[in-house]
Amino acid sequence: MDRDAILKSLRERILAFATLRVSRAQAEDLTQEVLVVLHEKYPNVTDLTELVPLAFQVLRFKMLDAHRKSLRRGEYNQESIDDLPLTDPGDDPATQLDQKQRVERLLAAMTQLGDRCRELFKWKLEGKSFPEIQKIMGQNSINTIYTWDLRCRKQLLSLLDGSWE
Amino acid sequence: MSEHDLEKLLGGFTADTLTSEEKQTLYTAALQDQQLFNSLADEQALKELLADPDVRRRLLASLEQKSASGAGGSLLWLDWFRRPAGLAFAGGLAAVALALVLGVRIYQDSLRQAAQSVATEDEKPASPPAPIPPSSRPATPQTVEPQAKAKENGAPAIDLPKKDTSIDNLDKRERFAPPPSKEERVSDVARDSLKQRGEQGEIRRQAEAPVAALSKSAEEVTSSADQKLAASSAPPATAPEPKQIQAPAGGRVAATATPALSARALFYGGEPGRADTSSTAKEQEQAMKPLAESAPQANRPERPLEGPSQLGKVAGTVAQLRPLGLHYSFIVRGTDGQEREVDAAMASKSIQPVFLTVEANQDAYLQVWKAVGSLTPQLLWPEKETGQISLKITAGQRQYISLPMESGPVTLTARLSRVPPGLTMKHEAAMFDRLSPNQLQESITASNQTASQERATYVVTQDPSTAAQVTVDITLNR
Repeated sequence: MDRDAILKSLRERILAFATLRVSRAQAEDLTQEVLVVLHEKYPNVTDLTELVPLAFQVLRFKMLDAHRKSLRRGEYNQESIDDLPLTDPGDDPATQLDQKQRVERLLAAMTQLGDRCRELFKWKLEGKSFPEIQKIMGQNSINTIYTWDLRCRKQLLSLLDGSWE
Repeated sequence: MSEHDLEKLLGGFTADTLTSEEKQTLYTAALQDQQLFNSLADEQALKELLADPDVRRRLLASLEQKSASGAGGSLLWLDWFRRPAGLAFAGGLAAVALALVLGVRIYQDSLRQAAQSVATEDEKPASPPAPIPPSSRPATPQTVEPQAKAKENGAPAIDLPKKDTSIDNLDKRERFAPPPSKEERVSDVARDSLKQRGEQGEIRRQAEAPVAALSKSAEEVTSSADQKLAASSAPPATAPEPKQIQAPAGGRVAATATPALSARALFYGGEPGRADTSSTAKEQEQAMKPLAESAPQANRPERPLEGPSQLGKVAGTVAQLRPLGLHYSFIVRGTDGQEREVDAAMASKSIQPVFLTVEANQDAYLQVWKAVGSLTPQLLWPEKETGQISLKITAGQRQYISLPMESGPVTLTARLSRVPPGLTMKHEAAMFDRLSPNQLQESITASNQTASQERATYVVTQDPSTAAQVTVDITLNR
């Protein structure tokens, strides 16, 4: 699959995904912005295994940026833009606090997992692949590791109230 | 890989641990599947979080700390115990332990009850069948050692007639006591208490010697008896004269301390232990009960009423080998209604009705004559109404003869023989062979029987022939 075919498929998926979160018009703008970034800043990325995760990452940034723009424009509280402070190019304190809170929630949820899930997450955080984890945990089938990981993720997601955010 | 299986790769996507093949498969599928694409987009937030090395380090530290603390200690035990299988296993163990404890306890109770029932069964044979005061029942003899000694001393010199082992009642054994065989002794051992056996063993030794000596001449027997009765106060008897043995120390003393040729032992023949058993039991009874309440077992009126046929059968088989013996005593009824044995002197003085009890150790013919002063003897028993001059009595069955109440000297002559007396003249019959040769007599009186309540006289002839008879004069001066 070449780069153009991948980008074409990505556009359809990104638009469908964004439509579920924002309005149709905003979703189309969001999709267009993602593809512009991929086209202008990452023209050399052609491999599927690199281009798709890059698209997910750009999509997330664009969605967070759109959310922040909406806040700045007062689309939620209709405040005057003159009253708002200047934009900090780095992470704003709200973003930092949000990330900190997410980490703490994740740590608290991790401690509530079972031994197997904690062990599995530990190997993953150490960068072990599923085949390597299979050998470490002494399982004959890698599907066992897949199944364990799926169940552990679902358990962790439920402990995080159903959202990674 | 199906779509369902592709979802399993999402975990590797967030941790960025997918292999190139897994990534290729996952991303290709994500471009074709909107749902998978949405899932990957949602996972992107976690992926970014885990991509931060600081966050990853903190998570790893948290996981390792938790696993280290949970690896050892009681939490694992607690977790194991909380599992249903663990609970079931623990419950099963508890049930098994409880069942084991209860089973052991029930088993011990059953053993205890069995022991009690055996003890009760042992006591029952010692109880008289008739309404005899409990105090008069023979108690369990005391020691085991005499029986053991008797066994250690070996078998008797001669084979004695067998005893009917089915008679395990002490009363029956008292009435008729042929010498037991070895097997029968074993069965007796199982039935009787150890003390009884000990006493029996002592008497067996005492009795076997005289029985063995029956084949000897009367002089030899007399000599042997005199030797054995070294401590006896009885005067030495000459051969043709009736042997009058005044038991020197009474039943128990004679049985345990002085091995002697005893008419009493001969009377009970092959079951020598019964005499001492009776004596020992009486001693115990005397120690525990008032004297007035204790009636000698050997002289209980009710005792002969049971099992005469069985005893008679036994007597028939052994009569030819056993010395013919007669036992008599006096019975008076006290003011308390209890019957007890008394000696002749007491019987003479008693104002209460006096009964003469006569018992044979084998089936034999009995007649009792009464002579008042110098008058011609008259047949006292059997009574005139029977039209007989003698009646056959069964071994061990005690006959009660009411004595006349008239005052003055009365001489009673009891005659016991294996064959019916052929003489028709009463006075001649009374005088016939009054002084039988080879006759031993032993009286258990208050003077020599300090420990027992037995007051009786045993007269035994050592004549083994069928024509042997026992004749004894009993003098009363009322």
